[in-house]
Amino acid sequence: MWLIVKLLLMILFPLAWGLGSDWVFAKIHSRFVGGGRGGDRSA
Amino acid sequence: MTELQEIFNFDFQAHLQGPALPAALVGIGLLVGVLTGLFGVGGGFLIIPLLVVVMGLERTLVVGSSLSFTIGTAAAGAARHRRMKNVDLRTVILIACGALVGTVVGKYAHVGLKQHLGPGRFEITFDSLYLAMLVLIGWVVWRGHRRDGSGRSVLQRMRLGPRIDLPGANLASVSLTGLLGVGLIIGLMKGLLGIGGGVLFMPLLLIVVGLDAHKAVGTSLGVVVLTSIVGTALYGADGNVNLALVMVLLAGSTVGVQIGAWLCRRLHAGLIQRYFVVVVALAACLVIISLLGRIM
Repeated sequence: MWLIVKLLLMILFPLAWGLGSDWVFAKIHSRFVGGGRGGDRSA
Repeated sequence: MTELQEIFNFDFQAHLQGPALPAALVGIGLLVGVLTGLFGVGGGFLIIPLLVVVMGLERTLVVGSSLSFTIGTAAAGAARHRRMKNVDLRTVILIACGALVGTVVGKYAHVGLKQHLGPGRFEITFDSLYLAMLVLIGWVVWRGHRRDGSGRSVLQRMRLGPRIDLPGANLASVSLTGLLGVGLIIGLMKGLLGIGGGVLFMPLLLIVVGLDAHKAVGTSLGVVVLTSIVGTALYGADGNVNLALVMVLLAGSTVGVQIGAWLCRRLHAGLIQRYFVVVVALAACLVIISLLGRIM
């Protein structure tokens, strides 16, 4: 039981952090810079 | 509650202790985040030598925790590229099928080698493998992504069937076996060494699979998210993922990625490529120092 909870935390916490931070920075960017979002230009 | 507390504590052996330890880890996360934003890579190739050589953390714990950390960085990148329509889900799922098998095999190879070789020889073997990978990464980036003159990718020219069309990626008659094989190689690297996204995956997707540059980045990130989830579950089940370590690294990298992306917009592409080779060379120097220390 604890193992499943720990594994879910190990997976869902970074997933939520990554998606959440992307959403927050996208909102900040669209509000203060406007429109375009910074992408991976190095690709 | 103790069951959960053990993955939230800084209860691992490190060169630093007390408040200096999380502060140094946030700094490493920040540095890796800057490189992720600047070069568009996961940073696993740098974070693992930094945590093992500079911080003195145990290698298997570092590989497991870096896989969990990569879920966060790759998910943020994949979400950004999905909005830009650079992620073809069908290609991601097909490559991920091979990559997931590779990740499982790689993880058990890591554990098997650790038991078979013993601590000293295991560290020397893995330092040597990292060094070989860093030399390969440096060479690939220095050489640049060269395309075949015929306009057809390696998997389109491959005679091995069955063949499938990937309309979302603008690719026709691609060898399915070859596609699964590409995934298997990436998964093996991910499961065994904890690296294998970004720089090594990109040339495979561009030259071997034949994706265009933007689709290659989005597809790479999508596959890395899935392989990192499986890798985290496998290493985490053995107690080799520390969530406190992952949290402080993510905290640093989230800010670092924005700084890196800001720098990226101000630097010339050719200069970025040269800087990247310098960073890879510095990481290789770290591994060489560690290797010499272990041999002598």
